[in-house]
Amino acid sequence: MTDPVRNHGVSDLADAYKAGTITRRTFIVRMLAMGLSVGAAGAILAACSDSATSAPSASATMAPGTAAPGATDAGGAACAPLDPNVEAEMRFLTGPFTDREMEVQETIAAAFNKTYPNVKFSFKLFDWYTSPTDIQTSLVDGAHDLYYLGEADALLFGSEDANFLDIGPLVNDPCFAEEKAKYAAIERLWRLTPKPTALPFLWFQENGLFVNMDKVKAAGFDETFVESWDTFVACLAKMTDPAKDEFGIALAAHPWVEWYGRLRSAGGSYLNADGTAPNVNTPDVIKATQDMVDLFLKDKSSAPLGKYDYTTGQDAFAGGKIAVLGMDSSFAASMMKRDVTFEWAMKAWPPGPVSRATVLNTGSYAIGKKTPAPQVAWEVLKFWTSGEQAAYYAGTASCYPSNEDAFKPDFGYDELVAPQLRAVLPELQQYGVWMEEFAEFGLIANRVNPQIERAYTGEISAEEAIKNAEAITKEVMEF
Amino acid sequence: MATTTAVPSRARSEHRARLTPEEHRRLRFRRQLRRNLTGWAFVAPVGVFFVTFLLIPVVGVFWWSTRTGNLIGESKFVGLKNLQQVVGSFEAPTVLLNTIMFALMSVPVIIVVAILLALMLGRVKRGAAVYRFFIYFPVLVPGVVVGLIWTFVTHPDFGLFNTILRSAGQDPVNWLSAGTALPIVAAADIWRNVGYWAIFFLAALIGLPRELYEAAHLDGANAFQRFRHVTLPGIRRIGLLAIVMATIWALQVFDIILILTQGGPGTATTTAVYFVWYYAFGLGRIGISAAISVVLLVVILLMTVSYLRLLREPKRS
Repeated sequence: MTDPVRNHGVSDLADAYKAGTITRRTFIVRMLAMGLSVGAAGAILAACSDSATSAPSASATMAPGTAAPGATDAGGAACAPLDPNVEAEMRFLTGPFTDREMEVQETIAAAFNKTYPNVKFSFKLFDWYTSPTDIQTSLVDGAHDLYYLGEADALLFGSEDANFLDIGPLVNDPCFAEEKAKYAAIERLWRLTPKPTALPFLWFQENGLFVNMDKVKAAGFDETFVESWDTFVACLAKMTDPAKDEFGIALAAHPWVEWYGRLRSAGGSYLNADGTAPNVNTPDVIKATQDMVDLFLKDKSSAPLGKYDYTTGQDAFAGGKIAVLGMDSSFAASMMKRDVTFEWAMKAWPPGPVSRATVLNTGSYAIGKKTPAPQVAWEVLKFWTSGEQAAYYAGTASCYPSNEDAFKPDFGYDELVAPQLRAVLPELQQYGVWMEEFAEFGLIANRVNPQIERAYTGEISAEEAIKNAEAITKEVMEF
Repeated sequence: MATTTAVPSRARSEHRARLTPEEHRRLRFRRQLRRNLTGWAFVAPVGVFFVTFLLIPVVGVFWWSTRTGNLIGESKFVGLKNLQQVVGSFEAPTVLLNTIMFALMSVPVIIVVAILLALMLGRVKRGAAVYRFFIYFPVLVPGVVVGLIWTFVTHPDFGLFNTILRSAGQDPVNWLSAGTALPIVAAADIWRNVGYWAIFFLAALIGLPRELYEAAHLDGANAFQRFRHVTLPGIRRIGLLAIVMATIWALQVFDIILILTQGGPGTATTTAVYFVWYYAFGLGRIGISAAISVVLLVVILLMTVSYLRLLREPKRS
């Protein structure tokens, strides 16, 4: 027999929910408090959603394999709990930040499985260099459910409506408002794509400087040596010893972000403010590029391009052959594991002709549109980007978590991360610049980079390289 | 129609004689058909592979070369715009020059060294199989592994080359700098392929009639003259094949570059196929990548035809 009192309560609740006087979260919480099972609460919620399209946060609780979570007229199922016994397979396509990538991902998966034991996980790692194609082919096949997107990939793929689920209705659901507020730079991330498709996961310094402070001090400088280009150059020169094959600085084989940082510090950018023309070929940009060329060819304080690649450059820095290494911040994780005897620090590049700029990158996760289990994927997405998991991942990868909850002492971010990473944070907050927000950014950057390298190797002049960079920008943007 | 197999063998000729011309024709047609079908059945598996993995992709390349867009979403027909973009891009001359320079550095050395190795192997009396194995061994090594081996060999700090230089009191060299990267890649390619052609030339040398050498010896020809007038004409056809094939392979060099230099520094080792890969997988531009492939295909076809014409046997009167 049904309980008339309880029935009456549910009815009142449903009326209140349909009238929009309570949020969906409150509606669910009260139903669960009344003793309803999760399944029953979900069914009532779904029934209410059908008849209450004007409710502020109504949603359908969908079984896996139905439409996207955000596809209902009334919004998403942002906070609706899943059936703990839900069965699904979640396939990740992500990039490796450290050599422990699989182990770290599996640890997060195991934590998720404590609540949802029947959700299986698999992880495929793409190569950073070929990530656009790996992601593209996976999206065509619907081979994965969750995708890690670096900023260039978010720009490239987010512009196609067919690629990722629109999670706007879910994230903007009032029940999720409190959580949403914790994601740093979420609004900026969403500006990269026509529709909100991803939740920010972490961010990091793309063109960091790893500095051997012992060498800097031995050269008669202190940590302020990066505060002007002149002291930077002077310090690098003093730390260079050709007889010992030791260099003041070295860049990885394809140092496109280093130059992009110089471009921004010279007041330049690939596109002008309204996106109608290149903003590359200016006297300040040529000067900033020439300054870099001089490090290689005139001062010879930089290891010649091609001498060290991404891996061997790291080894040479740890081995004391390079005083300053241009590298992304994830190298800090590797440095923590190495038994180095010198004091090291992380810095932003010195000022350019116009300003000081260091390039930042945001990593996010998005749900593939072809996922057969969108609701589970949403739950996984929330979990992965939650404070606790982001703290663990970003800590082991030497990045900064995007979820502010991650900095809570309970989650142990400070214990995992290198102290140098925390120390450089104020500099990044002061001088950090993001990549420009247009889909072809990565395409232009990848084509411009070899031209800049040609200048660094002396094959062409800085002026020619900048002229080529502008020509590439025009060609790609079809100006 | 009556079946011939039902007829007893002794009466077969008599039975045949009774067949009408129409029956003869039909019988012949059926036999022919059966034979053809059997043949096609044997060829079919290879045919399926040929169509699936060669013909369709090649047609796909031509199709994609006329379209813009990528694998996802809509693609748009743009005619020859991709080809124009490829030919007109300022990277094109560098890529073309690098590819030709690579072929010029690699192919002549491969041919000459392979012939020398074959001549030496032909003279080895004991342990020839062991020498042949060691010379052929690099051919068995995958290109990616070759790239890795040469990464270690050219490592600036503890690579083999710089270790030798240091032990000889010389300064270390940046082997993968803009000026030396392409020759190093060519050296790796030579190391990998020379054994293959050495074995080919050895087979050709072994097949040359000894009488020719004896006759030349009796005529007073010295070793160089015997090589010039007996050996070289004798291995001419293999040499022609080796030049054509080694050139085609040189134009298609990719895996060593991907591992060793990734086309750099700058564009110092960006060759045609690396450029194809870079546009397809690094930049995600399938149309442009396909257009470069079409240009490369045409260039290889033209070069092959030219080679064959240049090195064709002179007509005998």
